[in-house]
Amino acid sequence: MVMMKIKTIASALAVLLISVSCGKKEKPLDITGEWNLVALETRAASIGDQTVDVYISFVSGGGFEMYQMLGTGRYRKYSGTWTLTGKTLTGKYSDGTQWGSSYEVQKEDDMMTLSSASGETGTYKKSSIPASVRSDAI
Amino acid sequence: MPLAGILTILIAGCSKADIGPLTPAAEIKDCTHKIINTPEHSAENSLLLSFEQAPGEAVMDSLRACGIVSLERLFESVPGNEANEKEFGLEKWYKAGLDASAAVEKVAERASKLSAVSLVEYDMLFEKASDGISYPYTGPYSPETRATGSLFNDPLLGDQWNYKNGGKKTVSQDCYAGADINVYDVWASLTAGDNSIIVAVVDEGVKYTHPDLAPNMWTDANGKHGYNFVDAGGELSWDKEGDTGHGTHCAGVIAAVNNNGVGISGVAGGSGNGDGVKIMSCQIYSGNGGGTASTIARAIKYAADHGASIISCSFGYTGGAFKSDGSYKKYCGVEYEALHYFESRQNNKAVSGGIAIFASGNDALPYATYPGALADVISVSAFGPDYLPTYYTNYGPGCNVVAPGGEYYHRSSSGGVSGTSMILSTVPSEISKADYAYMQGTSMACPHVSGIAALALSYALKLGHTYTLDEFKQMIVTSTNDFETRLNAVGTKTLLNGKTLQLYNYRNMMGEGSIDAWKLMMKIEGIPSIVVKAGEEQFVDISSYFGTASINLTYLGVEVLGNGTESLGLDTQPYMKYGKLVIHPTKSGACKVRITAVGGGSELGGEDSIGGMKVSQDISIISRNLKSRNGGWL
Repeated sequence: MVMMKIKTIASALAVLLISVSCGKKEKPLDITGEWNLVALETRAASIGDQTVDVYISFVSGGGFEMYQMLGTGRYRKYSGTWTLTGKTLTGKYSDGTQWGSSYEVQKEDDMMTLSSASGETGTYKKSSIPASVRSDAI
Repeated sequence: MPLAGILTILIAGCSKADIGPLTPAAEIKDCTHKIINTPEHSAENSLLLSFEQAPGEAVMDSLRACGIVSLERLFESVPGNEANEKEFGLEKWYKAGLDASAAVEKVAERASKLSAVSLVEYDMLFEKASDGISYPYTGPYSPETRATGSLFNDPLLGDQWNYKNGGKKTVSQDCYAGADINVYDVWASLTAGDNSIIVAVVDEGVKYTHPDLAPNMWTDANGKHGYNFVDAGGELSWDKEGDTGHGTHCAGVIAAVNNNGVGISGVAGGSGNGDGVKIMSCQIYSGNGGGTASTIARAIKYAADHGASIISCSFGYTGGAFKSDGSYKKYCGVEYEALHYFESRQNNKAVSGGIAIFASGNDALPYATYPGALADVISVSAFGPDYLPTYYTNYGPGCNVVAPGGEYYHRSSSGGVSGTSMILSTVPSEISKADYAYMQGTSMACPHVSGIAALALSYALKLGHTYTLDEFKQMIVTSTNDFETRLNAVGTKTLLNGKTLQLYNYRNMMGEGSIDAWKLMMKIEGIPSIVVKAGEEQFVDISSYFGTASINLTYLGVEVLGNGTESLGLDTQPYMKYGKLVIHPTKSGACKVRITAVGGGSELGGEDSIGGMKVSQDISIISRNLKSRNGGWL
C-alpha cells in the first residue's frame, strides 16, 4: 500500500521519459501480468493522506481482474476486458461500464505508467497479487 | 446469592393499626412534587423511595407510620463499582414494601412529606412486546422447506425465513424474497459469534436446560445462568402458570446453538465449535408476577455488573404512556438510571459501553414505547415475511430500525394459516408441548438486532477494532436496507383477519429501514472511500454509510473536517439534497465530511418530544480527475 504523494514517483517518471526518447524502434507493448499501483500523480495535487491499494492482472486475450481498496475496508474485485491500440489502453468492466478514461501506456521493465486523458498518472509495478487479497476480496 | 448483600430492613409487626400519627407538624406540607409519577399501571404493594442519606432508625419509624412494612436497598452494591453506582445515584434508591391493606397513593403521599425522602416513584408495570401466544412446531415439513446448501446442519434452519428469505410460498403466499436479516454470508465468511460476548435477555426466565440453548448459556462461578428478580431465592423459572416461553423464544433467536444437528440456528449462536455468544437470563417476569420498574432496574444493573455487553429488552411501557424523553425521565427515574449505568459499563474490548436494545411495542401506534423510544436507545419495529409492517407494530418517532417480527394472519401455499409466517425459535416444552414454536411481536424483532449487534461485537474483537458506544449504536441503525420502495409499491396490505393496512401511513416511519447483518459487518471492516470527480458538481450516493434508506432520511447538517475545504478546493459548502451529498471539488484531493441525520423519524428526540437518534457519519472522499460509474479504479 502506498501513501500517494506526488513526489514519490518523480524518479520513476524520469526513468520512463529517458527510455521513450532513445529513438529505438519500439516493440509492441506487452502489459500482461500482475501489477500493483505504487504511486499516483495528478495534474493539480496529491490525493492527500488516503491510503489506496490497487492490484491489476492483465491477461493475454484481453481480460483483466482488479482488486482495489480505497481508504478502509475489504478489497473489492472488478473484472472486465481491455484493448491496447498502440499506446492507448481502453477497457470496460464486466457489468458493461466503461472505464473512467482511456490511458496512455508507458512501460519500462517492471514499471508501467497509465496516464488518463484528464491528466492523472498512476505508476504500477509488476507484483504478484497476494493470495490473501484474492481470497478476501468481495 | 447475588442479592444477599442488599440491605433489607423488615419493619416487623407493622399493620394497618400501626399507621398512626403522621409525620411531625413541621413536615406536613404539600410535597407531592417529590412524587415523580402516577399510580396508573403500577404495583400496589411496593413503592420506590430515594434518600439523600441512608435512612436511620428515626426514618424507619416515620416510614412505618406511613404504611411501609419493609425497606431494602434496591441495588446490590458491587465492590469496585461504588463510584460508578454513585455517579448514577443508584445507592439512593430503596424499595419499600407496603402493608397489604394500605392504599399505595396514601402511602406515597405520606412518604413524600418526610424530609428524609427526596423522591417517591410508583413501581410501574411494563408490558411484554408480544401477545405471548406460541404455535408449536409440528414438522417435519417437506424437504423443500429446508435450507439448501446451508452452512449449518440445524434441521429447522430452512424454516427460519427471517435469516434467509427466498420468497417461499410455504411460509406465506405473500412471502417476499429478501425479507430477512441477511446473515448467511456473515456466518459463512466472517463470524458466527464469540463466546466472550454476553447478551442479557431481560425477560421471562430462559430455559437454560433447553437442548438447543444449554451450551450457549452464560454460567457464573456458582453454576447459575442468571437471576430471577421476581421470586424469593432468585432461581430461574420458566414454567409457572402465566409464563409464556417469551424469554426462551427471544434467547433462541439470539444464540440457539448452531451446527449442532438440533433444532434451529441463532443469529450469534456460533459455528458449532463452542464459539456462540452467551445468554444471561435476567428474569423480570415470573408466572403472572413481575415486570415492575424496580425488577427491571435490578435486572439491568445485574447484567451490567456480571459482564453483559448487550441487554435485549422485549418489553416497554404501555403505548402512549409517555410522549417525550423529558416526561419519561421525569417519571421513571430508577430504571432510567440503571439503564445509563449499564451503558457506562465496558464489558468487552470492542465498545466503550453497554448496548441496550428494546422492542418498539405492539400497540400499532405511530410512535415507539419507552424506554426504547429514548433518543439514545435502539428501538426495533417489526416486519413480516412480506417485507411490510406487521399489523401490530409500533412505528414512527422513536423507532430506529425494523427487523423480522413475524405475523400470524398469512395464508401459506397449503391454503390455510400455518403459523410459518411467524418467527420460529426455542420454547419450554413444559408450556408449548414442543421444544420449538412460532411467536410474533416486536419482541421477536428485538432479539434479531441484539443478535446482530453481538455478531458485530464478535467481529470487531476478531479484527481488533474499537468503538465508542455512540459510534457503535450509530453503525447499527445505519446498517439498513430501504423499506420505502416496497411500501410505495404495495400500497395496501390485507390480512386474513380482515385487517387492512394503508401503507402510506408508514412512509418514512420505519426508522432507518430494515437491519442488515452483512452491512453492519462491512462497517466493522471499514467503508471504502467514495470517489468523486474533480471539476464537477455532483450528487453523491452515501448509502454505504447511512444504509439504502439514506435517500429518505432527515439530514441535520454537513461539516467538512480538517483542511478538507482546501484539499478539495471547495468553493461552496457541501450540502444534502434528495438524500444525496452535493459536492463540487475543484481539484484532486481527499477529505472527510461529517454528515448528521436523524436515525428514525423526522426529528430528534428530546426533552419535549419523541424522536430519533442523532446519527453522525464521517465520510471519506477522494476527488480524482476521472471516475468510473461503478466505482472501479480504472
